[in-house]
Amino acid sequence: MEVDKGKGEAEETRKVAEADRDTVTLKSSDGKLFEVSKEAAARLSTVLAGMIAGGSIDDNGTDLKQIGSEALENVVDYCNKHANSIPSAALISSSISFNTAPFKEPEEWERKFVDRLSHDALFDLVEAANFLGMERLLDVTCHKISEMMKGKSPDQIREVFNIKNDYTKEELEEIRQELAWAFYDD
Amino acid sequence: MGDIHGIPGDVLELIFLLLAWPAHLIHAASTCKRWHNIIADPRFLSLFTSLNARPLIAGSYYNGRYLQVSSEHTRPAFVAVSPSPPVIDGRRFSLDFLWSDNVVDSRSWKIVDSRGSLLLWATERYDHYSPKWRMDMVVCEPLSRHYKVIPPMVTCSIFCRSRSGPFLLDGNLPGGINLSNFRVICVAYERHRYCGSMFTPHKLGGSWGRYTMDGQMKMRHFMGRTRGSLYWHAGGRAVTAMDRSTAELSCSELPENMEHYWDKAGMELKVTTGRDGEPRILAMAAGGVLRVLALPRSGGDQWELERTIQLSAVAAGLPGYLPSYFSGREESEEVWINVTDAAMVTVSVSTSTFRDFNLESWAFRLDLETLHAELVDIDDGVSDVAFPCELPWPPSATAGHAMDTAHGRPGRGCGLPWLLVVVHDLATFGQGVAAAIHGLGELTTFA
Repeated sequence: MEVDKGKGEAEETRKVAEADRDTVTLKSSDGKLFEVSKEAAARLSTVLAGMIAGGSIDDNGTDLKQIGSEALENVVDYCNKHANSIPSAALISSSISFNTAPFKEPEEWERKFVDRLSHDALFDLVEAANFLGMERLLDVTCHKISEMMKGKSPDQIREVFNIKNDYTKEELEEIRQELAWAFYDD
Repeated sequence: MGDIHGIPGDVLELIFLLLAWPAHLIHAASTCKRWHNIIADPRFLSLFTSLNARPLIAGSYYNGRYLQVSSEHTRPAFVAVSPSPPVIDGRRFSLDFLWSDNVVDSRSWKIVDSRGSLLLWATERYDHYSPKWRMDMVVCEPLSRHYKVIPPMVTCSIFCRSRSGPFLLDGNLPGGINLSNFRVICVAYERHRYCGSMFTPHKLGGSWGRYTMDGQMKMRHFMGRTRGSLYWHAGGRAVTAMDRSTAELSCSELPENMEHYWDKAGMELKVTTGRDGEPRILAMAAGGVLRVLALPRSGGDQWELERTIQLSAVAAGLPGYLPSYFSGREESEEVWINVTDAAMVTVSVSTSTFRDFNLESWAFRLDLETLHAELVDIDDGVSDVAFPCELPWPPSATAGHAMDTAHGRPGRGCGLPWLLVVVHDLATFGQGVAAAIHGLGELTTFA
């Protein structure tokens, strides 16, 4: 029995290995190469899943010209961490897909993952997640950015996000007066 | 690289949806025009509203202990829903403009209903030596500090015995309730049928008119309200509901096998709203058994038993509790259920002893969903009813469209403030109308 089973598994693995490798290689805009589990990439990114299914994966490194090496490193890191964490069924099916499904709070490790990023790295990662169709990563990074806005005055938000104020004084005064309840008098 | 300006609009939209509270959204919209245009898009606002229904309630108004006429009499006041970090300046909801303008006197007037960001106040007067009965009403919007005095309803005192109301309904125009678009309705049994008196505002004040209702619909005992509807027990198994947007009536049926709970005299049915926003009917039975009925989630007009609460079990640990309270054996003990908020009731027990006729009362607050029970002051128990107040922003999507066409105002993308459209109209309206109404004089007599 046991021998038979072992034999079966080995055959199975060999078949998979023959068909293709279990990782894919991704190449950032600045030419750096990253390896990521094929299973995780296909599960977490609709774009990579499409490329894998369509056979447009290059063994020498699939070009992702829109994504810098730092952001791609974070993407790969996220995929690996996600593969290692115990994926709850709820989490996998929780992508917000813009509008319909209710948003699921980030898990502890996801929170830590985005908390350690600099602002610049976070914004780059949002763009990468959006480009690669990684809905869960997009949720988690967008959640982080929304947390950075909450409870801040317009001035503070502009400072944090380096936004230029293109309102006139009169326009701002108008908003403040009409929606006064939303503002604290500091 | 590494810049929020590089983030595409649809991703910013996702970020703004997660802000959850209107005040956060308004702050974001006030930072720059690009963000304003994303947020002020009617499609985005309606999505935000549908995903973030709960935070649109800013807090609730309470009448305070109006039963206790003493020097320590407290005025009606606002209690904010308080998330962290705080998102609303509670002082903005103050009612002091009503006191300082002498519009209402906080002793004799009380809040009788709320809808959207509006509060309805009323006070009744009976004239001695005259069969006349009179009710004065004021509708106010605390946030904009505007109010509207409604011409008093004057009628014969028989009317008020079978009366239920007044209640606030949405106005005739699309776009939700506001100070220029609301209705007030009173329902009464007159000349062998139920009829309504409806107040509709117009530019120079507004007027009361008769509101004819389906003669088949009975509205015998007012049971309570939810955000969506008003409910009456029509007798037997029949329940009549009035939609608070359209004023249309519909009927539903109580479960078949439970007639004895509401056929028995004095067993009043109450309606409350669950935390899911759906209506619940509360039926008290002897022995302290409280039954909670709900309409089936799949739709339908037959109420079903959702849960049964044994009051002796939830109250047993409270100070002052006596096992005799819910035994159902003492004729002299009466149990009342009073709905105070979503899924919250107070249960009061009154005991009168034959020896001295003194009424002893004991009350506790009960959460119908968690079954958490807490002892309350008997006066608070009855008067501590929450009148929820919603934020007037964001405007509903239909409001946006209606306003845009009605005023020929540009939609998104054209500089400022689509954000402000609704509020603007309200401000100009409020000033004009308040002045006009004061000038109208008294007694627009009804019926």
